[in-house]
Amino acid sequence: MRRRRFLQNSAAAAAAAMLHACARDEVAFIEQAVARSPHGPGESVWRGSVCQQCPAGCGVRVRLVDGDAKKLEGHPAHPVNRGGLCALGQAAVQELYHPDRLRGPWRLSRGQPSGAEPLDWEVALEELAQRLARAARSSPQGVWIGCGSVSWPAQYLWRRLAAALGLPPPVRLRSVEWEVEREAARRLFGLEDWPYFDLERADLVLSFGAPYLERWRSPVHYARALAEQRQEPRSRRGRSIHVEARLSATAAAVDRWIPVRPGGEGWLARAIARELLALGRASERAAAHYRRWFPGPDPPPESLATRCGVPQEAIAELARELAESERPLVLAGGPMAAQRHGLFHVAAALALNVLLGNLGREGGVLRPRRFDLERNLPPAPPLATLAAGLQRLRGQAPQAIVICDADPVHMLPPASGVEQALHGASFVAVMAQFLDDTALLADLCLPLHAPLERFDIVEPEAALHTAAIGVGAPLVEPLGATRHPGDIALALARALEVGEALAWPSVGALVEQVLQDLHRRTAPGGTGDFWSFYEDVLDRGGLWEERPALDGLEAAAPREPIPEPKLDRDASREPSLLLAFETHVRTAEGRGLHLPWIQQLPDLLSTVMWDSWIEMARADARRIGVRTGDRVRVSVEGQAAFEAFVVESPAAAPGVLALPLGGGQRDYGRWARERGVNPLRWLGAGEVEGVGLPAWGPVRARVEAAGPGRAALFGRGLRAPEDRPLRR
Amino acid sequence: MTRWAMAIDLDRCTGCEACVVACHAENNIRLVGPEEAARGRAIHWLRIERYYEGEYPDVRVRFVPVLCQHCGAAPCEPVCPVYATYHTDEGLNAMVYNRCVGTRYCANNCPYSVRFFNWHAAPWPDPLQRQLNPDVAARPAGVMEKCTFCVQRIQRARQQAADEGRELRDGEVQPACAESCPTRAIVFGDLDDPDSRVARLSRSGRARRLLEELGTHPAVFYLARGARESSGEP
Repeated sequence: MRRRRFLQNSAAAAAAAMLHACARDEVAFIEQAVARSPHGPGESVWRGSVCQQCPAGCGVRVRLVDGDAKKLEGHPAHPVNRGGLCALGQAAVQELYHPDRLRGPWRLSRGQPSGAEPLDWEVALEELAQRLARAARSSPQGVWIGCGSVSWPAQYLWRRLAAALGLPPPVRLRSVEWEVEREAARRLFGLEDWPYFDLERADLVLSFGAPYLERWRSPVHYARALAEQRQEPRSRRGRSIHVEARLSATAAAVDRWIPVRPGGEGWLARAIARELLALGRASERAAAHYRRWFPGPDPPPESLATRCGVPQEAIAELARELAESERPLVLAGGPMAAQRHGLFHVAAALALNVLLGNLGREGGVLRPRRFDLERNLPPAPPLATLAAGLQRLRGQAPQAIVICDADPVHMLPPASGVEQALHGASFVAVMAQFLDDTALLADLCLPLHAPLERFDIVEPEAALHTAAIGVGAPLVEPLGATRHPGDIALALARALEVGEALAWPSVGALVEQVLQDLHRRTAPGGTGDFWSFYEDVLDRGGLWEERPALDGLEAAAPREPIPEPKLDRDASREPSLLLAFETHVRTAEGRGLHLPWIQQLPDLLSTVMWDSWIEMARADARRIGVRTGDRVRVSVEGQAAFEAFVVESPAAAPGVLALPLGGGQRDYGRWARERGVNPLRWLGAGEVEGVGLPAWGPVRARVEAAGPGRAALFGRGLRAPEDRPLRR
Repeated sequence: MTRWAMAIDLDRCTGCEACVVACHAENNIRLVGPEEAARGRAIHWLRIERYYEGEYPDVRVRFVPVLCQHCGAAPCEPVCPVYATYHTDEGLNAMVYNRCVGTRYCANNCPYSVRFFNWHAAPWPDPLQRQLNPDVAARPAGVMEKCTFCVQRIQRARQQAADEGRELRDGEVQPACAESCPTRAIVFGDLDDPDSRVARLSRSGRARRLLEELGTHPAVFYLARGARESSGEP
């Protein structure tokens, strides 16, 4: 044995022995063990953790050298990502070492550059505690807490704190489309969670707008599932079809794209349902359910074809393909869900699964499996829905607003009233890693640990048919005086004398307690050494069931019909329709655009870097005298709105302009500051029917040339005969 | 003798660009701001080429991840006046950064447009430099760079195998792009080992090479979209 290896092994053995002996200070010890790596200078150490760049909850392995994180890789055994890791996940290490990360608490002055002042944690926490106590005394309903963190301890501890103080439960801060999709799942399948779509084992996948290869639940999980669906040994290659108004990256990657009229997705689903019912593909019970969800008379086929913009023959063919398929699967969601009739679009599409009889079946829609993390913990009321939270915001102007790890000003349309409420509140505290659009409006800004600096548990939003959690431990020294949002809740509980309700000394202790409970429930016979289990979970970066299960799922008894759109005539004189879309790295939340690796990543279809762009048909571009790279001025419903670069696309529908989500942050660090356009500022239109959330979706617009520009495009291209050798 | 090669299955690739960012993270590729990017100076050792076929509404799109093809007869090598770019015994088209004098002849002669010039020194505002990979040299201004097939990972895996007194195993060396790929579309290995996955994929009826007719003998094989063959493909 080499000398170095001997020393490493000795150190590891000593560490293991100490771990067993050290019952009380194990958490501190783990941190020390990680920091004082037995490995030599310059040597790589790999540790498990969980990605928190989006709620998918991918397992990661982190390469550490001399105490610094160097690289993230997907964990090969984690059921969400099975070794892969998306662009955003790869870039998490750049967020960790971002030069503009907040490194200490600040007193801010509502967006005014002057008056900002650094604070000690004690002062900041005391001020927040006093403000919360005062507001709770005068009117508990006057305190509004929003939580967007994917960290389960953060959510749980803030829910516990709010309950202990007699405050309304924190509001789940997620994008509008996320909430609408969830409402559709509740109505159709009776789930308070996402269903799992067993794409890998389906032989025909029809997706309505769901950008499942770009973001959505987990692009890594579903991209892998699509690849396996195509190539797993089977008698026939699986097929995939995508329905969307715009040719997205998902539409481009599947086997067939069916362009629809913007807002026509739900009608296409209704037209397919009509055909399926006529073909006798649905059971009587399924048909009865469907009739109760959509009780109105079926519009005639030609009318349906006009509404969705797909020829009748193509609809009939699509229905036949689904009917003849052994394991068909229909997905729905994405930006279309945020439209005024988003619930109709999503529900009409997902209801096809009921007609096709694929609920609870292999290759169909499955009930997700989760570990119940709170089974043996003191109870805490669930997060309030976004709709309920916004309703409360509109009803009574809150005195104090606390936002945890979310940027609602950026990710919700102005009609949500969040920005207005922030301006009107007498006190605003924001917990964030960066000075984002919401933090800019705060009085007090509390800086958060990056995920690799803290203990954490993440429940994958991918909603798998395998119960799984990601578990993170501090792997690197915090960059500054930052904290876990859960530790902030614990400190406030102590300051507000409700410490007995939140009795954990730290988030690490809560994580340990949950793992102890899981150890009792999941270890064979509840036996085995807990500390070995604990170390193993931290080393792997999570805990998951090894085998997926096929949990049954049935259609929920319809309680109320899904609201159908009324046909209203478009009276606008504006010639174009402007819609917004997601990409792999551009979502309504705008996460990731503060990182240079993400900003300089050429968009897959337009190749644009560092900016937003307007995608339009070539003929439309010629008509107003612009070419790719030129600037255009866009007005929405007669009001001047914004300028952007043009990208001509052979895939764009005539008269349709498309703008990516995510850009236009007011700050968010040097690489995102005032870069691009946030479409949600211009695309708000009424409420999502049946959900009560502010809608955003296609609006009428006008575009005109604004002179030459200099877009950053990465269209290198091959110099000689293109991709001829790759054509078949 | 080892001959490194790569196979990219276009039926599995969804164009997610995880590989592009993984390559940046692994190889300390410099940040290029928006102004420089607008001047065509962005650096991506690996890019996803996108080809449209047809017009709306009958449009199809093809994605082709393009990186240095590590050509067996590389047009970039003979034009370098200082032998900064050369061919290794294992089939890698390698760069010696401290020999490069920045004539850019190699980039001019590369039909795949995969060579990049460092117009400026790399800015790494503190503490961003803490992420840099210590196994890879950061290139100074005035030097060409391109994909190395993550040669540092090859060396690391070889060292590991030597420490354990064994041969390298098939699949043990994973370039950053292959390791990150969510769909496992990228396979790397030894083409001279007939049983390696990459060798078997290179013999597939779906396998093509990019601009093969130029006689460059690329070491990257692309598997066309569509059903895989029932036999032969791993």
